[in-house]
Amino acid sequence: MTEQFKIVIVGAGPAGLSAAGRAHELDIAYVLLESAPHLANTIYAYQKGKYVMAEPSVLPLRSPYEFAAGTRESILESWQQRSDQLDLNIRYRAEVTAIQGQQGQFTVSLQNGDQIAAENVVLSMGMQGNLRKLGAEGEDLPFVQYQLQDPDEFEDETIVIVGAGDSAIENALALAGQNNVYIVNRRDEFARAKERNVQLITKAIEDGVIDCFYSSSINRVEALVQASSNGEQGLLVLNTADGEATLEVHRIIARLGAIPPRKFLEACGIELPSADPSAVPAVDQYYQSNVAGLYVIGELSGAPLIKPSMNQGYEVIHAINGDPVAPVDEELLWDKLNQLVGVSNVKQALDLLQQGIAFLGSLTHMQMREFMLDSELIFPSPGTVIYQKNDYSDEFYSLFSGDVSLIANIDVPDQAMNLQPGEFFGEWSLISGRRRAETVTAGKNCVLLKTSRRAMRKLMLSVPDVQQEIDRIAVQRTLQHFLVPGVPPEMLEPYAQRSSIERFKPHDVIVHAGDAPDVFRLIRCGSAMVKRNLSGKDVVVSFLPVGSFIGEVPLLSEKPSRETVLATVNTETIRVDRDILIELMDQFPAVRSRLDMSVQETLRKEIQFANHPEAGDLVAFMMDQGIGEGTDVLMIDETLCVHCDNCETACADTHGGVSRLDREAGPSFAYLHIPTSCRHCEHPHCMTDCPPDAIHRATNGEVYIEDSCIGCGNCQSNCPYGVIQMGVVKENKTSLFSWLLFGKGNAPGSKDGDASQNDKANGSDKLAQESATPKIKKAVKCDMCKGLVGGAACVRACPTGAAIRLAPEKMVDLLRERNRRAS
Amino acid sequence: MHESFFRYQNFFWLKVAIALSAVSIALYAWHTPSVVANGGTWLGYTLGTVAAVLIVWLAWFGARKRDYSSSSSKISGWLSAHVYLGLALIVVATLHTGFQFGWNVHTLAYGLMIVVIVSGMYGIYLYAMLPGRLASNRQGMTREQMLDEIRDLDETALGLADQIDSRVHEVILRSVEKPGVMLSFWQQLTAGKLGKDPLDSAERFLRGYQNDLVDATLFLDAQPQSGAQATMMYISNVMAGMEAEKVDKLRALMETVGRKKSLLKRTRRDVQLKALLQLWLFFHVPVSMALLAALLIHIISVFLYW
Repeated sequence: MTEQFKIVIVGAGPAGLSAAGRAHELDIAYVLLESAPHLANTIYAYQKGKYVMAEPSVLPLRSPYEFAAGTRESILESWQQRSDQLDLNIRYRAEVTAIQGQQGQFTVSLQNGDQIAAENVVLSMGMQGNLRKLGAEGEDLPFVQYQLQDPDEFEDETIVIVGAGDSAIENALALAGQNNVYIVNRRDEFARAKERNVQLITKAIEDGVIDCFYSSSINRVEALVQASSNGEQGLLVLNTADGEATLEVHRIIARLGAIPPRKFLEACGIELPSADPSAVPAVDQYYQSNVAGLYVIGELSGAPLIKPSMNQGYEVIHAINGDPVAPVDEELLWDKLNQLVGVSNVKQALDLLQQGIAFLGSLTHMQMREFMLDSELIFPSPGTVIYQKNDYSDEFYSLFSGDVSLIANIDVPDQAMNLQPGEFFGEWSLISGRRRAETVTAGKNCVLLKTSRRAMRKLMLSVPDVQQEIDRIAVQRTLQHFLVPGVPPEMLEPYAQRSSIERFKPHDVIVHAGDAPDVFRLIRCGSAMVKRNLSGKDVVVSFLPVGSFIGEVPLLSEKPSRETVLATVNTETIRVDRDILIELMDQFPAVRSRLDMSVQETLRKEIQFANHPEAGDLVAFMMDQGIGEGTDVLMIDETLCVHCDNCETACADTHGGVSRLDREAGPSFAYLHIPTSCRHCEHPHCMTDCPPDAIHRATNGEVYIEDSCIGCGNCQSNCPYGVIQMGVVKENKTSLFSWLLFGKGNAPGSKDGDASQNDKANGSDKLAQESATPKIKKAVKCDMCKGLVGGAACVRACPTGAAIRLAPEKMVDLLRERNRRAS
Repeated sequence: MHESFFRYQNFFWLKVAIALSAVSIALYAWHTPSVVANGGTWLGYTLGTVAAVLIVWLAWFGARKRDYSSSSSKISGWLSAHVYLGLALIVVATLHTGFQFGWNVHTLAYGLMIVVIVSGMYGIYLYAMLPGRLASNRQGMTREQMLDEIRDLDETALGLADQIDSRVHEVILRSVEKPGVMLSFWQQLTAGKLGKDPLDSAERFLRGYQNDLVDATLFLDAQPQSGAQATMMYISNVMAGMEAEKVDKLRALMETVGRKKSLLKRTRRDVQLKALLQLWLFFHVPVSMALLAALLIHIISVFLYW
């Protein structure tokens, strides 16, 4: 007998579970079919102990299932418990082979021959059931696998990882400890993966921990007739740039991603919008595909994140049940938007904003909703200062109505610039990561849309039109600020239009020695160093922070560049070709004096460096240590440091017993020591992947971590300078005298782990306390003592004056001082 | 920019200290009391009060140094003041005595003060001289890295020794088992120059062992050679070749031991320098406490027997 259900849900992942749970709650006849013998097979296949994120954090969860960031194990367990509790109608090992029919009378055929009748079908099977294979002979041999759950399972094996994405890299790194690991990359670099993973794998390859075949593809895989003496079972043949290469292997792990099961979908009658193998079915607002009654949710509908997929599961059931619910973010958005005059619903308000603010025009409605979730409307009263010049804040503002005035030079108030509704400001700090270049004051009836740095950068990355529009205005304003102050930026539009933005990676050459003197550049983000060949040796002769010019000396002297200019970090320049610059000088004589000043300053610096060639080595050293992207760096003069560690103790004492700096660690050069401590980068690496968005920059420039930290450790692994630690912060401090005279508590500034005798004596109490309130480790890093009046405690506590904090623009002064001392 | 506590704010506290000393001396020279100059004249009391306040304030440095969240000026400023005013204290306190010394509690307080100041001067000397030496001795390595490398070298040495013979292995093992970096007070301060070092005897043994090996090889080479004998010689030279391989291993081992020795020397020097930078405080601070006690007794007794 064929069973009959109102809804058949295919795939018990986050989306399917959520849908089934909701159907269960609403008493709808349903069945959940799962091909695996357990729930959530994709998450089940994650590497053991993997920390799963619950992005986007602002989005509420709407599901009968709970979901919060946590380990793979805790999530699977909670879902299993919930399913048992609900007594879900779930059928395991039920692989669907075909879906035929139409709304009201679908027939779902299973692998074992069973057939199920369904009025509606929800496809929530994800893509992991359809992993991309090697695409070469032998791809299904038993020692070729496409997933890795527990890297500790393998030991002393020769393992080849195929792929260059995050999972390939993570697998390779996890296996490399106790195995002989090779990685095969189709390209000549790792470009697809997260920055941190790229760094880690590159380092592992450099250190010889992992061997990499770049620009290589799989020719074929063969089983060895007889396992080799070391137990290798297979032979891998690669096509490399230097011809064929063969490897005897124990195991091949290919991590090539997954693609939608195209054949199956097409057999169901679902149309795919393009021939691209990664194309997903198009669905309407209720997730219905082109086949009426056939719904697609989750990864297969293009929603790769878990939380939105779970929400979709909930919503699709309501849609099928005939009582569709408003999107989950509706209420949140309405709270943000209801103060706008004359709007009655979210859509209307968003439309109004899109009409009013030019650069938002190209966003789709969904993108606009997401953008608004990360933004807020503010209504400052006239005269309110939005931000001050030299502040380190990094929000981005769009003017919806009323006006604001921007003053770049407080001494010349009549140069104030008034913005019109639809324009934006704050882009300089967003792009450069540096201090605010102007003071902005609200005018009458001012309504502003304020967006976080993170949301804005995400939007610029995902919508090229937005990036273009912001860059267009930013180039005008930057040229105006640095070359022609006092002129309305619009007058520079024709010049800005013919300028371009160039992006450089660390160590990329911006100008080669000998290049023709026909390009002028302005650094708008990052920094550069200038090298010159002196008697056969490349010597660093200068350092160029944000706002510096490149190429003005050759251009004005009409001689080829004598120097090589290299990017020290990810760097962006505005490129102005010679003839454009000359036109600009013709029209605005002020440009000339700006350039003259810069030439003088450059020559002065060069003379300095020429007198002290060793200073160049110091600059090169400092660049290697990330000073080029830092905004505030702790530096210790080794000729003064007496190793008393008062800096560390002060740090621990003012930060709950966890020191955020390690004085002794970190490199030294020419008696200058750079301890392991935060550099407060202009574009902080730690911010790149913070799920609760807990890392911010305060107005004085300090990059700090809020209490909302969930302890995931992403920032720790993203920081290239190793300055973030995971620690438990203590609440109570004991006073110096009660410690000194009565032996109470720990010494001031004592760190975790050096508990005093007294604490040891009370060990059992302490243990009991700890187990009663388990504390999670949170990320801690230098916050430059932002709560303390006198500034950073490490520097103030240094008895000999050895410790200072330095902004890169002051670096020239430091070099000057050291030169003076040397001579 | 970096500014040493000596130069803090353009030697501000040095100037204050000189001014204080100069004023004290001038007053002392100008003042002609009716009795012999002593702590009991009005100037004596004035100088004594200034000195006592200075002593208490100088001792307060220890507490201020640990008040890490204080927003008053930098500790390097406080140290600068501590150093220069501490030196000025010699002038102020000595003039306070009116050069009246005796075997009493008053002179005890003065004596302790001088001891504290002299130990402080030694501290200043160390602070001025040692940091640079410490840094250049480290050659950019941390203590941890130095110890790690010593461990690596030990392993290499053991591996090589194992390939030579068991006697060598035993000697190297002995040199490895003994801790290379010493912990006792005297060993720290003398950088291990006192007492025998197992590494030295290992090195001596290796040198002797190598000489023996080379001697054996040379002996073979020294044999007269001709015809059939030469062929035989050639064969035994192959045997000697095996010895030669041993000699190579031994040379590598000796190089490793040598490297370890120099690194160990640097590590010991590091321990010594760091100990020197800290140990003087173990004298300076307790004697300061004693001084405070003696000072209290001095003041109370002066008022009690007035």
